[in-house]
Amino acid sequence: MGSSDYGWKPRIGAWRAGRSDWRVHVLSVFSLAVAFVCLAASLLVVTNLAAVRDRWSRAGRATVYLREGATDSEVAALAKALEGTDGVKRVRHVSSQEARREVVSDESDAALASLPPSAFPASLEVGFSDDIEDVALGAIAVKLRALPAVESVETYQRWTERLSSLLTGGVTASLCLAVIVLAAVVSVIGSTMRLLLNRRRIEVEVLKLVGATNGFVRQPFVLEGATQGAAGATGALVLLGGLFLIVRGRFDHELANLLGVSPTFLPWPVAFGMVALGAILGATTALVSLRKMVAV
Amino acid sequence: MANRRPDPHRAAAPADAAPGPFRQPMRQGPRYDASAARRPILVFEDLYKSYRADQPVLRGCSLTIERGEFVFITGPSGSGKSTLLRLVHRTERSDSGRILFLGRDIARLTDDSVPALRRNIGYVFQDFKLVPNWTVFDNVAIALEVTGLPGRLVRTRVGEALERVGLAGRGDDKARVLSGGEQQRVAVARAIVGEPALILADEPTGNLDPQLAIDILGMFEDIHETGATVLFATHDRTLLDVRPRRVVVLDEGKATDVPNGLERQAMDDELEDELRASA
Repeated sequence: MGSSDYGWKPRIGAWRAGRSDWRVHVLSVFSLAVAFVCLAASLLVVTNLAAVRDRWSRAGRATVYLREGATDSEVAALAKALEGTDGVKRVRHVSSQEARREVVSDESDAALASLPPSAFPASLEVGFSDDIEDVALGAIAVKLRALPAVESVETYQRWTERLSSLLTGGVTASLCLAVIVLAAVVSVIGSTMRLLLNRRRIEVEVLKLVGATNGFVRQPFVLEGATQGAAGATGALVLLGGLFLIVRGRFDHELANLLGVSPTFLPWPVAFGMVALGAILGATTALVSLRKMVAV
Repeated sequence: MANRRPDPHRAAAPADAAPGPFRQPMRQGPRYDASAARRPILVFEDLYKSYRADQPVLRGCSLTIERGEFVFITGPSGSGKSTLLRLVHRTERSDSGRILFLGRDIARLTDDSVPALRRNIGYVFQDFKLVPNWTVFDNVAIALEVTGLPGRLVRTRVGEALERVGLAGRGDDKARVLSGGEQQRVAVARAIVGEPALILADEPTGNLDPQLAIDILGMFEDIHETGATVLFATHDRTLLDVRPRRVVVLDEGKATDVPNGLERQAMDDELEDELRASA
């Protein structure tokens, strides 16, 4: 007598435990949701830190310092040529006087005020589009340095490299944390499912007593484990999403100014992946926990 | 269309018979065996079982239960009453010896065949083994649901089983709100709903007061009247004396058969002693 003679209906019928003990199920889904909130939060940190790193891995601007003897026509020609270059968004000419004015805003700092005019060379402030590659930026800088009107070019590469490596460290640390949290989540799900199944050991005993096959016994529990895991992960995402919206609603402007990017929630693939992970972990732990209980 | 079914008589024809078309010798298929219906339902042959090497529970236990019998199994605590029933249910496996259920050796069943065996056996326990959160109906219906019976039939047969145990109309009650006697009735309903050939009762009255115990025994007797074979394990002497039945006494790991009950046996022994004394 194989398992082929069992229809779908009896299996649903055998899932009556899921309906009768709903408080326990709500409690276990809540426990799983709490565990998944930790995982989702650490993934959220990873996502946003990575976005900040990407934003700051390029300064997006360069300063072209002009020689003292550069004529207006040379400067104008250079500005025009730069404006016509791919990846350049804007070019602004800053004269020596304007540069001095920007640095020495008031005369209270005598040391700054006493600096000679040559300390504030005229420059062209060049803004680049966000998608410009580092290689292209480097090539433009090399070409600019070769021009007779150009004294030097500052691309802020070293500064962005340092910041980028710092943020990469942060992303790596967050990822490590996420892995540790994932291990904790697996442990919590395993314990929750084991507790739940122990509480319902009598159901397994009764099913075996009346001649249920191992598949018949396992199927409702595995489905239940998968549902609870998915529900826990979904609950965690909803909870975290709500908190995220509240925080972003209040501090979006400040955060955007501070970080240079608006904070974003977990991308859809990550969110769906977490729900799938919850389902898989729930089903697997239920299956593993049942293995001993179901043995004939 | 010509009948191409092989003729077993021709296949078994002697070699010097008239040559016919070549056919592979056919293996005999299963045939109706009239003697199978007369076989004992349960045969224990030289059964050994021990949980600890130095303390065997069953030591060469042999016993035959005929179809439709009601047999009490009794003996002191630890004598192996429950073990014997668990071996029949394949919850335990014997160390050696054979248990033939309807002619098939239970010990040689594969794990996949055990559920089919259990569907042919109703089992009632001292502690009822009901799921407290389920309704009475659910606790009984599960015995049919595992067989894949359609829902309509399940409802009808569960209703009948509950009526037989005196719980008609209680299907929607949760098992946890029932009294001990009622819970045992639900367990009995679950055991009989699949109309099994054999019913095992492991101290089913152990948790009940004497009057309820006699009621439950009466219920098992009613079930027995319908043709089921009942093995009723108990250490309660008062139940054994209610009606003369076959009693199997387990002691020191062996079974002693008392065909007409302990009381009748005692009376017979007494009469024999008197006759011997007068002679």
